[in-house]
Amino acid sequence: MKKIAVLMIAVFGMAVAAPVFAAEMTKEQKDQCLLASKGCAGEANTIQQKIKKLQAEIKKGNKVYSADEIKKLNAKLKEAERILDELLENRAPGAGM
Amino acid sequence: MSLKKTVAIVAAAGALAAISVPAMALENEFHGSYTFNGLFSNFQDGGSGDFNPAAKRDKNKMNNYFEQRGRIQYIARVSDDLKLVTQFELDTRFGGITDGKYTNSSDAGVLDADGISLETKHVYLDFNLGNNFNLKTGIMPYKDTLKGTFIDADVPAVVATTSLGAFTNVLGFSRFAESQQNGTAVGRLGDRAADLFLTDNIFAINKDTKAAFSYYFLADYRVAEAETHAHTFGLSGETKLGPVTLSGFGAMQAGQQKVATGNSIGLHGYAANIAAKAAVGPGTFKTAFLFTSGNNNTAPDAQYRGWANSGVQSYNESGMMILVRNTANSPTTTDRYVRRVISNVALASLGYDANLTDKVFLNTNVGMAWAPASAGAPLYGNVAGNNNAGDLLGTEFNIESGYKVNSSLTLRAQAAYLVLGSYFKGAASNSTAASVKDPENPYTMRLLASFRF
Repeated sequence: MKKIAVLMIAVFGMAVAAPVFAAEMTKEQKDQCLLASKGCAGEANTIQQKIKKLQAEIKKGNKVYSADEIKKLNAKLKEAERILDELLENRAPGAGM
Repeated sequence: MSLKKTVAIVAAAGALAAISVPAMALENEFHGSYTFNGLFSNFQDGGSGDFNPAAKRDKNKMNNYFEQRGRIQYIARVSDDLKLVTQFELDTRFGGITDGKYTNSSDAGVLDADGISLETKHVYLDFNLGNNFNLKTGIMPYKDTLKGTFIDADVPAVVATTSLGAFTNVLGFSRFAESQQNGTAVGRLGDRAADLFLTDNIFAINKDTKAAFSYYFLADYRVAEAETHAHTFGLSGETKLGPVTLSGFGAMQAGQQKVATGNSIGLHGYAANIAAKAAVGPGTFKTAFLFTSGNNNTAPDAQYRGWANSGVQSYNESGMMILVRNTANSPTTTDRYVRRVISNVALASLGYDANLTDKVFLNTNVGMAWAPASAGAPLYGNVAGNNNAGDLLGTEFNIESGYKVNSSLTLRAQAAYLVLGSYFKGAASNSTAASVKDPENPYTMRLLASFRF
């Protein structure tokens, strides 16, 4: 009985821990690294990859993300696009204009 | 220990681990860029600043040189509300530079490299306090709402941004110069400095329309006899009307500058702009007009009517490569324009940026520039007092073709030619009353490879 219980806990623990390290999300899952800078272990995206990933996550829409989360992802997309522009062209971000 | 207790402890430990690991995670973001720039020009010389065609002869030899710029950006993002942004730059000219800031080493463009050339571009902390308030402190990029014609620079500053629905307020302070810079000046820190106070009030009237009111106060009090207090008031807007995007601004200045006689000069500069762009065919058609005032008064104690500014500005929508500073076309150290400091210039520009295929693009621009104030125009035949009466600085034609190898790598070829106008007539440096010569028309050709990640 004891052994079974410990085994079950171990399996449960692994199941909880695994998504944290997973890089690829399924269609139904939230990308916590993009959304909240959580579980980003081993992530190294180029700025172009980050933009693509953000666009893909935003596309998942209301099925996966709340309205607030979509807003957050959109803000992050805007920021990433600004970084891309700025990297080469010496262009400072405007004050919103 | 009972089984229940064991299960509870293990479950608690597991839960703690599950919570604490993501909470401590830090998003490390590394980005950067690299640009190779091969230049062939009769006026670009690796330097930065205004270029006066009248300082050149009627016939000049062409410079040929190669530059590169690497940028490394690291962002430590602790959460959505807190990040540290850093960016560094490595500039090198093939053949090397060992003067100026590289006196103790070189820029690594020499045999066996070994240069000391890491420059600071950005170091700033960016954090949110609540949902509506953002604060940035450090060395950061700042661009005004006047399309960069007052300031577009990296500055040490504290900038607070408050967002309330459709209204955004930006309040900032930058101290960008100090009389104590090299430690030899007498006095205390903060007593003689140059400060910029800035306010941008931006209203998003609807999805397609934005308007802004800005106020910039530039106080340069490093030298008591030359204290400058310049107030700049600007109104700007942008709107979409069907396929056309219209934008523009109007700005006026007030203030004063002390002169050695103990009196003051009144500052009365102004600037205005209107621009339109629209998607036409496979690309974007754009046209714009910029006016920044110049000064004809030279006597002391008069009014100064030139457009006062920070000294580091841009006007990117012109697409110019020779006439007026356009940071998009200064990807490496070379940063020379007829008006690198944008003042005393009126510029009408017209351009078309075409995406011929997914990978190939072709951009063309034409610009015509005048000097609103020509009292200090170059001398015809270099005869004292014989200033040219003409206002036309010249007409620039430029073309850029590019190939996007992939989303990271782009290859480009650029060429620009400026037909000098009446402002520079007979004013070549080797021109004399007996043998009047026009300065040579400036040109540049560039081959670029740029990479971003």
